[in-house]
Amino acid sequence: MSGRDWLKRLGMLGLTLWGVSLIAFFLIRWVPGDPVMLMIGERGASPEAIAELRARLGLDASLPVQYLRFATQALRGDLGVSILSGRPVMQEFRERFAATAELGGLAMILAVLVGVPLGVSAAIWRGRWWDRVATSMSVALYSLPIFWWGLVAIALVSVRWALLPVSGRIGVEFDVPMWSGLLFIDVWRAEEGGWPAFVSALRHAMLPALVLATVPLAVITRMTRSSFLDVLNEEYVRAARAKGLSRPRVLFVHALRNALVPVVTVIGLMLGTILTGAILTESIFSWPGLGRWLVSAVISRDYPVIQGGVLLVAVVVLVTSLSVDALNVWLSPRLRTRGRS
Amino acid sequence: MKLGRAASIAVLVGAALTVLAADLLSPHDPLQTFEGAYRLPGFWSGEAQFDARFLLGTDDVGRDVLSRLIHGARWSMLAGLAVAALATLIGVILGALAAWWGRGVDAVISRAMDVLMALPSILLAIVVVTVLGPSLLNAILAATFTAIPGVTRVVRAQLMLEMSKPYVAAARIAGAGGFRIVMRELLPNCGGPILVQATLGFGDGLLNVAALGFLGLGARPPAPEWGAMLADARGFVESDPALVTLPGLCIFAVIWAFNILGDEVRDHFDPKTRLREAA
Repeated sequence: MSGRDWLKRLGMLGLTLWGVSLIAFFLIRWVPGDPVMLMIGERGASPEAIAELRARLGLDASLPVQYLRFATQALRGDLGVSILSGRPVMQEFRERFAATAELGGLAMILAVLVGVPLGVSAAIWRGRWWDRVATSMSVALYSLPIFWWGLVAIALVSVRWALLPVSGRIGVEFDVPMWSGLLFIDVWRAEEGGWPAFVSALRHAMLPALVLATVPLAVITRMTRSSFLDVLNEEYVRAARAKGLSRPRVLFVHALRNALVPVVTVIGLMLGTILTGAILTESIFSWPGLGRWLVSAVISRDYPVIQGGVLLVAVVVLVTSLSVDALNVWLSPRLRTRGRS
Repeated sequence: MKLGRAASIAVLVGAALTVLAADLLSPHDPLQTFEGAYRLPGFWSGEAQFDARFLLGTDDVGRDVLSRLIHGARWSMLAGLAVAALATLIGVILGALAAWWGRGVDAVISRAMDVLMALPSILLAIVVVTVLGPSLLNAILAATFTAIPGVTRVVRAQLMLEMSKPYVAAARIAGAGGFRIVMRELLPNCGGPILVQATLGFGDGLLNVAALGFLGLGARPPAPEWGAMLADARGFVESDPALVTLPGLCIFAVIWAFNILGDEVRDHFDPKTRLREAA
């Protein structure tokens, strides 16, 4: 890929974001019922008060004018304030994103720690019983409905065996002031933090992360297995064996590194899966992340949160996929030179 | 993998028969409430309250769980089928338009699919259902909406690959029009990947409709859709775990069977894996 290709990709990314902003803006306004009527609710208010509130929120202008206002402000990095909480959308996004990132990150670590060894061992003992177990397990995990599996996990692990807490991010006895938004980091800055607080945060995150990790774990296992099998058929692996290197050295030093390239891609591209899974997981475990934030914003018709939040989620997804592509080009020289010819 | 194949075929044939003969198989009306028979245990409990009329027990308003699961197969399987069929149809049309006409048409379609893919699919589905109002039909439409980009991309990529082959040029020289070439030459040659997508789309569709049902945005009560049954039983997960376990197991079994089937179809059409198996 040449510099021009990258510029083109960046241009397309901008175009895609513009499309996302249009969809987010108009789709949520198409939902019946508007935020002002929901805020006033059953009690009712005088028509003047309603008109004033509408003007204050900028909802009195025509839709194209409202969109232009939103788009120009967004370009300057201002996404407005939430109608419900009155706080800047950007600030709320940062906190919510941190919570989801903590959950998703832990899930991803679990998935990689289990999935890669599982996939590698399945490839090494290909066709044996262990391979069959690993492959069947991966299909089964992939097919688990996450909302059901979350309920079952709570019923068994939290309620029947009382091993892990049911919901929340940390025990109520800990008062951890926000700094980075990631509790695993913030506990070390809190006065009553340290190890007990860290362990409490970890115990709260463990079950939702396990639930969220099932699909990524299945995909990573499968991808590692097939990628490792492909690499084992390569000439250089045979050459390395022929020149007398030991089998473990060939497998783990030569083959594994190359086999992991497509796995890294899949991990990057699975961000969307994680976000979708997070919406369901967060609603089951009452985890205060992006998913719950956006779903409750849809229910309360919080226009600024929906349009701004969806736009930011799209930025994260698109930038990640672009970075994964860049990482791939950097990892494999073949892609780097192809653009030049 | 032979065991898996046999099991998945058994699950799918069983599910299909259940869909066709739900009225014959189910011992009771799925909506009938039996007074005094609330949350009776199933046959496995060995408790005195077990009532032989209700093999799998009853739910919180006294409906027979077995009958509801059997009729639920109808709702959930047909929802999956509808999503897979609709998404495949629309995806093939969009993908073919993008691949054959190229340039402006391709740019518009491809960017639109990029936009849809940049949004978390379940959130998109939630918004679509909120716009249209919660119902099974609207949940199906929403799930279809989120499934279209995947199909479109696969069809487009596959058609572009085929278009570079000589037989397409030959057809063109022979005087065939664009519509004819796409319909008679190109699409039949892309049948494999499209079939794989449709098979996997069935499972995904069923899962997404059930997820919307679970969030209260799908089939309306008292309809016995599996996802909605899960949502109903959510409050009894501690006191009566079977109410939650059974519909979930049904969803899991069907999706698992479709994923195994999808793998089989893919292996069948992918020469690379066939060579590898032969080696």
